[in-house]
Parts: sequence; structure tokens; C-alpha cells
Amino acid sequence: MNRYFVSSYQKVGTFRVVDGEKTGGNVASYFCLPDGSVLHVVAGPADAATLLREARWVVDTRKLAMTESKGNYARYKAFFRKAHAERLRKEHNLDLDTQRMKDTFSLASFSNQAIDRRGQRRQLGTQGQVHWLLASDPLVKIEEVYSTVFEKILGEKVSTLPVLEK
Amino acid sequence: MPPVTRRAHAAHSRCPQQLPIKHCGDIYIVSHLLPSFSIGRLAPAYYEYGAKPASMYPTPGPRIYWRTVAVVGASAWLLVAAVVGACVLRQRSAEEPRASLKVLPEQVLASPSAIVEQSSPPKQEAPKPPVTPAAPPEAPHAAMLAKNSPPVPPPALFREDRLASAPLLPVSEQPLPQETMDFERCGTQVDFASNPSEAARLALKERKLLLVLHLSGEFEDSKFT
Repeated sequence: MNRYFVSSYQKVGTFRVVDGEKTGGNVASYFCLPDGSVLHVVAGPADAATLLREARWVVDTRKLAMTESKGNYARYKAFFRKAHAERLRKEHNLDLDTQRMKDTFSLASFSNQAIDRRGQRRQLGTQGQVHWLLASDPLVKIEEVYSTVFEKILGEKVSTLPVLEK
Repeated sequence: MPPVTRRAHAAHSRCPQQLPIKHCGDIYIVSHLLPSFSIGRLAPAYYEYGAKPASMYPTPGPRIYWRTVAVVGASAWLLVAAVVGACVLRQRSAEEPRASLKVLPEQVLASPSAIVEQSSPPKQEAPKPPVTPAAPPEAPHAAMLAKNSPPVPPPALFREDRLASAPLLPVSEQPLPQETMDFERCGTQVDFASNPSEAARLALKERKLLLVLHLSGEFEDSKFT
């Protein structure tokens, strides 16, 4: 991880401590370009092997995107759109119409129900929603998307409140 | 005869003999050109000679007071030398800081510690064997810089007009220099920078990607992570 990434963390929500036990709280791991463009997100707690596997996918996909795009931003973005759509199809069995998503998608209207190529609504799991989000809006900035991920996908509330103990 | 000369002749009408105006005029024109203190000396001499035939007068050719010329000339040269000297000193003092600024970005790129070493007082070292005084120690370094480095455009640091117009954050909120950035592992194998913006800056510099964990927990306390 240290070879390919510079890591950091940030507290965006709070939780409660009830009788010494943590209640609530969640985590989202963002793989970004240095300017904050999100390449991938792992939503929710993940073990080390899962996080490492996703990190490898990001590194490899990025290398391929750089090769394919030849410095062209639109091609680079399209490559990541295609990569997320492909994972959505393979791992979550949802065939997205990426062209239609590109035209109609907005972060404000994001919900956990995706619409496939045939127009049918599909309920997606946490990681499926991440791929759907990033296939619809690849390279979105982290400051624009983090509240959507945290509140709509993970069901947490973005908060600056301190930890509440009971 | 010019009116000035005629008036001057009339003022000195004590002249014992009316000399031909032309002659008197010539004498006065000469005296007019000379420094003022010489008129007093010249005029009596003229009237003394006034009664004598014109052929016995001292020739009215130009008189040069060499002492005056020497004093005036010397003071003029001194003034010129002083002005030139002041200009040279001013130019040198303006070039010295510029030269140090030219070297600074190179040193920063090469090794940030070079500045610290340069600014810190020289440490006492063991006496070295005498070195042949072929060239001063700065000369090869400066020559190498001049040879290896193409002309560097002024860095953004010196765009003072933009810096002045943009409102600055307090010092506590500005990014720390990389040397003081600290990492923590928080019980993992991953080095975590304490601040995402610092991590982004470092990632850009090292051409790495950025991993940011957003969490609602106490990352430092594994019980609440």
C-alpha cells in the first residue's frame, strides 16, 4: 500500500458509546488521484485482503487507463466508467446503459435502485451502489461525493458532533 | 562695438587719454571673458598703459590661469569619479541577493538540507591537509550550476501580486513542510498522514495515488474503529 498510495484518514461522522460499546459508525475508503478525483471506493468495513485486492485493481486499472488514454482526460474518464460498469456486470449482474447514465445522472438523485439496460430497476448492495455511482459519474471529486457515499450508501449521517457516551 | 563694451568704456572715463574705442573695446572684451576677480587687476594695468602707444601694450591674447584651471579640473574629475564609484557599488549590492536567489531553487531541488547546512554555522572539523589553492571552493559549485541548469523561470513563489491579493489562511491552517509531516500506523502496516491535504500534496509530489479513509469512529482507538 505504501508503495502506490499516500494514505490519510478523516473523521466525517460520529457514533455513540453505549455501556462502553460502540454503536453506529462506519468507514469508506476512497482511492483517489492526488487532485481528489475518485477512482474507486470501498464502502463499509473491509478486511485487509479485500482492501488490498481493491487497491491492486485500482493500480492496475489506472495503469491501463493511462496507456489507453494517452493523456486525454475524456478517454481516461471513459475508461474508468467502462471499468466500473464491467465490474457491475460481472459481480452484481447488472448491465448498465452507460451512455444513458452519463446523460441523466446527478448525485442529488442518486438512490440504491439502479436501472439496467432494459429499463428494469434493481436493488443493489453497498459495493454494487459504489460501482453504479462511479460508472455514472467517474472521477467525481471526493468533496462532492463523500456525503452521498456516507449518507445514501452507508446510511450514516455526516456530522461534526463529538462522540456521545451513555 | 557691442553695447556692453561701450558702457564699460564709459564707466571708466577716467582714462587719461581717449584711446581708440576699438582698442579699449578689445581690452574690455578680454577682461569680460576672464574671471571677475581679474578685472580689477587688468583695468589699472590698462590705464597705466593707456598713454603709451598701442604697440607697447601687452598682447591681448588669451590669458590662462593654470592654477584655476587645475583646481576646477581636479574637482570635476573627483566629482565624476565619486559618481561612477557610487554607481558601481550600487549595482554590486543589487546583484548579490539576486545571485543567491538564483541558487536557492536548485539547492532546494537537490537537497533541502543544503539550505540548513548553508545557514547553520560551520561545524568544527578535524584539521585537513593543506589543499592547493587552485580555485576558491565556491567556484566549481557555481560553475557546475551555471553549466547544468538551464535558465530557471521565476517560481510561483515570487508572484507577489497574486499572493498579496489572495487572503491567506492563518499559519496554523497552512500546509506543513514535508520535513515536519509525521505519519502514524495506527496498528496497521500502512503509513497514515495526519492530514488529507498533506497526503494529497505528497501524493502529487511522489506521483502516487491517494487513499483517504472517511470514518465515523476513533481511528486511534481500535475499540471504536
